[in-house]
Amino acid sequence: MKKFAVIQFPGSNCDRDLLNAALKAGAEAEFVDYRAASLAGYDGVLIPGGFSFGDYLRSGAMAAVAPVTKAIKEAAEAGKPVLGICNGFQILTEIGLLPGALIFNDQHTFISRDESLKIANSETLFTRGYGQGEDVVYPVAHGEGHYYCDDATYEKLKAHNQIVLTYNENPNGSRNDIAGIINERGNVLGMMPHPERALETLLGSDDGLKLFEEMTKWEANHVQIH
Amino acid sequence: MKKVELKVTLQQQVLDTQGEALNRAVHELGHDEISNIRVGKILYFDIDETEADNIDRIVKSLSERLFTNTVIETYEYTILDEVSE
Repeated sequence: MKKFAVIQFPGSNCDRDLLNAALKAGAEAEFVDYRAASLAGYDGVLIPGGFSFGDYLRSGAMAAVAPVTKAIKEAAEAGKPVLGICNGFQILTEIGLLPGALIFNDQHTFISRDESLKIANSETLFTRGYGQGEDVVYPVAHGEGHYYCDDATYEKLKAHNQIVLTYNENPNGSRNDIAGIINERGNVLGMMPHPERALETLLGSDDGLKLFEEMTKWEANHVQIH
Repeated sequence: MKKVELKVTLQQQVLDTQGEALNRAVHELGHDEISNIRVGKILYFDIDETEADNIDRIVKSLSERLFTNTVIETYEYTILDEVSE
C-alpha cells in the first residue's frame, strides 16, 4: 500500500483534509513535521494549503527554507509524486520545483467559492482518471492565487504540456487562466484549487477524489517524461 | 557592525494590487497629481561585518535565497551608519 507524507508547517490548515483525501483514496498517510530531515519511507508528498509561517515576508517564503524542504526536493528528484495545493503550490514555486510565482489576486480580495475548471492535461500521473478537457468543480480559497510567469516560461510550459488545470472563469487574473502546472518530468504538481475539499457529492462535489486515487495507483515506471 | 537597509519592490511589469488600490484612494481624496504608486517593503538588520565586499556577498546571497523572490521582485540595499555598541 502507498504511504504518503502530509507536511505540517506552523499555519498549515488544510492538512487534515489532505490526510483524509489520501486515506479515502486508499493510501496510507501520516503527518510529517516541517523540521523533519528525511522523507525516506514515503511514496509521495502532499503539501497542504493554509498560511505557513503566517505568510510572513511572502506566502511560502519561510516554508521554503524549513528543514523538510531539502527532503521534499530529494523526493521530487527521486521521481516520487509531489502535490502542492494552494499554499503548497506557493511553496513549490518558492523552492523552485515549479516555475513562476503566485501574486495577489487582481482585485486584492480573498476568494472562497466553488470554481469551474478544465483538465488541460489528462496524461499526468495525477490526472489520468479524467478526460482531456473535462470540466470539474473544485473549491478555491486564496488571496494570492494569480499565477505569474514571464513569456519565455509560459512558452516552455505550453511546449512541454505542463499546464494541467485551467479556470473556466478566471477569478484572480492568472496568466492564461492557469490554475495548476506540473514540472517537466511530470511528478511535481501544484494547483491553487482544492481537490481535497471536493470528495463528497453531499458536500457539493466529489470531482477531486479521482486525483488522489490516481496518485495512489502511481507506479515508478509509469512516470511520464515530457 | 553595520546597519543595512534593504528595499524590496515588485518588478515593474508585475501588477501591484496594493499600489493600484492606493492610487484610487488617493484620487478620491482629490490628489490627481499623484500616480504610479508602488508599494514595497524595507528590512533593517545589523551585520557583524565591516568589509563592503563581504557585506555585499552576504546580503545578496540572503536576498536571493530568502528576502526576495527574484521571479517577481527586485531589491537594493544601502549600508547605513556604524552600529554603536
